[in-house]
Parts: sequence; C-alpha cells; structure tokens
Amino acid sequence: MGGYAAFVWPAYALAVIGLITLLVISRRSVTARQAELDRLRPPRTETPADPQDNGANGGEA
Amino acid sequence: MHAFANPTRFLKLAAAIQPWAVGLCIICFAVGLPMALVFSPPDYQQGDTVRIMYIHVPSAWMGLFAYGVMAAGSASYLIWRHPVANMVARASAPIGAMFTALCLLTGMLWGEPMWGTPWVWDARLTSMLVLFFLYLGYMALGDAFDRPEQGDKAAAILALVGSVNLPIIKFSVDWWNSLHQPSIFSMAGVSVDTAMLPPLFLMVGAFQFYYVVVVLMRVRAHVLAAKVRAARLMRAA
Repeated sequence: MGGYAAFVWPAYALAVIGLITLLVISRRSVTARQAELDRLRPPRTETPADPQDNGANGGEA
Repeated sequence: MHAFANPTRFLKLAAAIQPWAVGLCIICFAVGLPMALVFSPPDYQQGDTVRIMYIHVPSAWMGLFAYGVMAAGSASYLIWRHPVANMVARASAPIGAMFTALCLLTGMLWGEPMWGTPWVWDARLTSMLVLFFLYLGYMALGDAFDRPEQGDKAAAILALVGSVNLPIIKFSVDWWNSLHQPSIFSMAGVSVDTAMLPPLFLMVGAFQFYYVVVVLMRVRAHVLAAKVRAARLMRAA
C-alpha cells in the first residue's frame, strides 16, 4: 500500500463493520417483529370447505 | 406510485426485487473490491491513499441519496399520507446515517496523510457533519412521541427542512475556498484518471444495491411493527 496501509486498511475495515452491522441489526429486527406478531396472533384453526366433510376422506379441505 | 401506498402490494414487489438486489450487490463487491484494492493505479500525487476514495466517495453519494429518499418519502407522507412512503423514509435514515458516518471517518483517514490533519472546519466537512446530525435528529424525533403518528409527522417536517443542506453539501467546494478536492464530475470534465472510474462505479453500484436490500428489509420490519401494534390493540379491546 505504498506506506499508507495504516490508513487504507482501517477505511475498508470500517466499511465492512458498518455494512455488516447494519445488515445484521435490520435482519434481527425483522425476525424479532415476526416472532412477536406470531406470538400475539391466535393460531389459525383449519375449517373444512365442506361442512359435511369430517376429515374421514383424507382430510383434504 | 400511489398503487404502492398499500403495504401488502409494496411487500410483494419488494420480495421480487430483493433477490436480484442481493445478487447484484455481491457481484459488484466481488468485482469492485479487487479492482479498488489491487488493480486500480495509485494516484500520481496521493499514491495508494487514493484507494480510500472507493469507499469514501460512494459513502458520501449514498449519504446524500438516502437523505433525498428520506425527504421525498417525508413529503409524500405529509401530502398524501402514504404510510409506505413514511416507512421508506424511516427505513432510509439509519442507512444514510451509517454511510454519512463512514464518509466522515474514511475522510479523516484520508485527510491525515494528505492534509496533515484528520479534520478542518471546512464547508464540505462541516456540512457533511450537519447531515449526520440531521439523520440522528430525524431518528430521535421520530421515536420521541407516545403516539407514532406524531413522531412520524415531526420527523417528516425535520427531514424536509434539513433537505436545504443537500445543495450546500454538493456546491460547498464551488462556493467557498475549501481544503477538500473539487467534485469528481463537473462541467470541466472528470478530475480523476479514467482508469479509476470502473472500480469507483462498481463500488457505487455495490453500495446502491446494499441500500436497496437493507431498505426493503427495514420497510418490512416497519410493516411488521405496525401489525404488532394492531394485534396488541385487538388483544386489549
């Protein structure tokens, strides 16, 4: 690096740290909120399309 | 444009765009980084410190670009009440702040060997620092209210007022005597060796696609947060 390695490499290291940190924080934010939403929403109950269908024919709704 | 004010429709479009943006970002980094670090020529005056330019300049451009998106999204939110426009603005802020901080820090690393000092209170550097504080203020103000709508509105107004700083940053090196070098592209032509342009554009592309990937991710997080708030209200009712 022509004697300037002490300036060039830290610049690239800062870029890598900044880009990766923000990416990880953003990804975690999505997964945390999705998990919270799944926890708050009641689980969906499956309703058969045909009220006469009690699942005896294979359970295909 | 108005069609994408619907969060569900916007997220469908985002899901289609995101894999392409990820792929293009990886390609730009994979080709651009070796060119920037190894294959591009050293500057005839600045030597190998010019390699900092491939991080510094794209960061500066992205800092301005993200603020432009934030201001446009804020205007759209204030005028048409587009919820997605506000989410895009809010999602852009941390990314823009990170790029602006990166620009300032890499500028200091470049300034120390070339100017003999990492910092001067020069028009370009100071206006970039003001941009960083505007980002911090926008994020703090947006989260400072109990009612999210009040925070969104206050932050949107700040984003619009702060956009006056963008032309000041752009033209600061022309309007005032500055230690900072002039713009790479101007009416007079290109101020760097043309061999430096391919790695520079590749790194700009990499940062741009990174921005697309992360902003879409963060918009999705904002949509989920709104759904969480609605689900909490349903439970409380």
